[in-house]
Parts: sequence; structure tokens; C-alpha cells
Amino acid sequence: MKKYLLIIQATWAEYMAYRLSFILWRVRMVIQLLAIYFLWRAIFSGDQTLFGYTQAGLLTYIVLTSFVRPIVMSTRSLDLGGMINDGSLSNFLIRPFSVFRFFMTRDVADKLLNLVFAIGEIALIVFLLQPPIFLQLDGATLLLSTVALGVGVVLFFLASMIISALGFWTPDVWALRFLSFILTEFFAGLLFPLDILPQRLFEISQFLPFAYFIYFPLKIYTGGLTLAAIMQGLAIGTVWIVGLGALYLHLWRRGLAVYTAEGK
Amino acid sequence: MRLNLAALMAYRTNFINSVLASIGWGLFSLYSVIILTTRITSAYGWTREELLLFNGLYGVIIGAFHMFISVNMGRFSRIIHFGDLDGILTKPIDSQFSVSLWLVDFTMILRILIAAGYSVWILTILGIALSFSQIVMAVVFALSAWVVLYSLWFLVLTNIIWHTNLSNLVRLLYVFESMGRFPKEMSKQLTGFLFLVVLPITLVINTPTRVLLNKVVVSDVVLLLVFTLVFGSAARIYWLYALRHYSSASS
Repeated sequence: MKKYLLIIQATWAEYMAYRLSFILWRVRMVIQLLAIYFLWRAIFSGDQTLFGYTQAGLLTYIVLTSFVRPIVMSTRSLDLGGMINDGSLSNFLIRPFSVFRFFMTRDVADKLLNLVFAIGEIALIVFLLQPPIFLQLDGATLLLSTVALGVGVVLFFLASMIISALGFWTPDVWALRFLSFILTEFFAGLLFPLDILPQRLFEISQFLPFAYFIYFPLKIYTGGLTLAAIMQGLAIGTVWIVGLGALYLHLWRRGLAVYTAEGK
Repeated sequence: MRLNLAALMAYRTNFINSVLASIGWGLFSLYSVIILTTRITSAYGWTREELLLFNGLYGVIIGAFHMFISVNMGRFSRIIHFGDLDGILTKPIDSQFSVSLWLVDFTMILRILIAAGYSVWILTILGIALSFSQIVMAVVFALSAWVVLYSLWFLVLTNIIWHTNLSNLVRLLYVFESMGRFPKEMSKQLTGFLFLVVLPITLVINTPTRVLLNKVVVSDVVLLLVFTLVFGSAARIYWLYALRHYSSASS
């Protein structure tokens, strides 16, 4: 356990080594949120409801994406692809912990750091802009949305590790990662809740893993899903976790068999 | 150009992924705005069709910018951090030109073509028949917009010569650049100071779009041309000043 705590400390120390760089990163997060927030304010101007959402409901969704996004989508698993290609993975293979747990621990550190700052940033934005935010007070709903958030965290981590593991066969995983980024931006519900899409496209999105990163936990939080829909969503998310987990294991074992540490 | 194309196609799978990513990016960014504006007829003085045209032109102008410029800006921080600027400075070619235009991202062509086709389609819906002078003016202002964007990026990134670890400045600039996706009138919601910061970026797409819609605002045109001159000159002067303070990583 101690070694994992040390990994978390080292990850935090890495971020804090270049403080100006860190501050710029946080500024970027705030600006991104402001841009989408003002876009939706413009779309809502003069209307009480749009796409089945009140202004409060939708702005709550948008503001909370800046809370959920860093928890789900901040990851250090991107580094694995580079480590495979430059051969530095060899150093980690001889260490007394698995590479998977190493990156999982790094992700925990990354997400904790993001969470602390995201709370501060959202508080600042709420204080300055005073958006009509909806607060969920029902315990059961909060619990279910937290479980859904956990599903999203695990799913995203596995998806990212799979893309990084492709580094065993290709010298550059950036293009594939960028493609997944585009699909995530659209189908995860970062810019808008997925249920404003045309019905057919929305139904398809429910069977893709992306919807469980951001949209699903937030939809539960805003009280927009029945219990049956929540259970169905959790079941689909779990199936994806099992499937992606199996795929990652398969890729990792096959990858290690062809790994030659070319960079070293 | 040939070297860039060869480098892009060296790894076929990567090339195919890049092409798919470019197409996807172009399609999804345009479709997102279509979805978002489904239920509105106007926003901040722009009709829905005008907003769609705005986004189409954003795809063309910014797509071209990403094709030639921002791909080099990402490299910029690396060459300074690792001292590779030494080699560039010894070459018989202007250093600013070399740093700014060395790489070309050919996959952006697809995004540009998709956005251009989409813009033509929107213009047809709007029933706008473009005159030759309108097209020329729009191209001139688009070029001015590129100069403004490039100069802003270059001005900011030149600071990496003093702070070599600010590699995520590029990502911050992408976020600022994305503010240009929205009309200037929407950005006015920001507090005075913030609006002033993003004002040059809001003119980048605003002005060429208004030219095509026959709704040119003279003050915006003047501002854009002034920004082009001021920022273009400032970027050059600042770069030459910064080079005097460059200390290679190897020396």
C-alpha cells in the first residue's frame, strides 16, 4: 500500500514542479467551461425550455460536466504508449507492482488533484455568474449517480489503456487517440446532453461506451432517468467494463510477447 | 511539402487514422452546431442559417490555420526545450519562417473541404449570390485573420524561450482559438477585460462571414486590419528580441 501512496505523491510532485504550467492548465479548464456556458445561455435566451430541459437543468448539466470531466477523463495512461515505444516500459516490468496498477494509481492521483481544483473553479464560477444551478438532494439518486460515475471512470481508464497498449504494434498512437477524442467529445455528452440528438442517433449512443463517461452520471443526477433506465444503463456499462477489460488483458499479453524495447 | 507528405504516409495505419480523425472532426463540429441551433431562429443578432455559415467558415479558416501553422506551434515548444533551435538558426533560411511553416498537416485538407462544401450549401440556402468582389474581400479578410491568429500564437509562444517548460501553452491557445467559433456578439457577455483579451479572436471569423452576408461592419474591418498590422509586426519584433536571449540546451 505504501508504494502506491508514494506513486500518488510522486505524481502530485510532477504536476507541482512547473507551477506556471499547472496554473495555465487550470486557466484552460475555466475558459473551456465559460465558453460552453455562454453558448448555452445564448441558445436559451428568451426560452423557458429547450430540448426538454429548463435553463436551470441544462446549465446545471453544463457546469457539472466541468466537475465530472476531470474525474472521469483525466488520465496518465496516455504515457504508456510512449513508454512502449521508447523502451522505458522495461524499467517498469521489473518493478514490484503491475504496470496496470501503476497507471491506475497515477490516475487516482491525477483525478484527486483535478477534483480539488474543479471544486474551487466551479465555486468561483457559481459565485461570479450565479447560474441557476439545480441541487440534487435525494440520497438514492446521489448514490446511483456516484455508482454511474465510478463505471465511467473505470470505462474511460480501460479504453485509454487499450489505445496506449496499441503502442506495441504501432510507433504512434496519437492519431487513434485523437479519433477517440473526437468520438468522446461528441458521444460522451460534453457539449450537450445526448438526449437532444435525433432519436435514432441517441439510441445508438446508448450502446456505445462514451455515453457512460459523462452523460449517464449527470443524467441520473439531474433526475432525468427512471430506475429501470438507470439499471439498464449500469448493466450496459458493466458489460462494456468486462469486455474492455478482457480486450486489454488480451492486448497486453500479446503485446508483451512482441515487445522488444527498441528505444533502449 | 513532399517530405511532409512522405512522413505522413510512412505509417499507413496512422495515416488512415489521421484521415478518419480529420473527417470525423469536420463532420462532428459542424453537426454539433446544427443540433444546438435546431430550436432557435436567432441568437445575438445572427439568424440560425447565419450561425451555421459562421461555423462553416470557422472550419475553413481554422482548418487552414491548423494545416499550416498550429501543427508547427506544437513543435515549437519541443525544439526550444530540447535545444533544436540551434540547428534552425544556423540554416540559411529565416528562423521565424522555418519554425512557423516547417510542417504541413495534409489531413486537414479533408476538414477544410467538408467545411467549404457545407458553407457553399448554407449560402445556397440563404439565397446569397456572391459577387467577385465579395469573394476577394472575404479571402483578404480571411488572410488577415490568419495573420492575426498566427501573430497572437507566435507572440505567446515566443515566451517559451524564457520559460521552456510551458509546453501546455499550445493547449491553452487552442482553447482561446475555440472562442472564435462563436460570434463576437456572444463574447460580449464576458466582463470587459476578458472580452478585450478575446476581441481579436472574435473578429477572425466574424469579419469574413459578414462580408459574405453583405453585413460588413466598418469598425470591425478597421479593427481587423489594425490588429493584422500591429500583431504581425509585434510578433516579428518580439521574436528577434527573444532570439537574443535564447540559450541553447546544449551550451
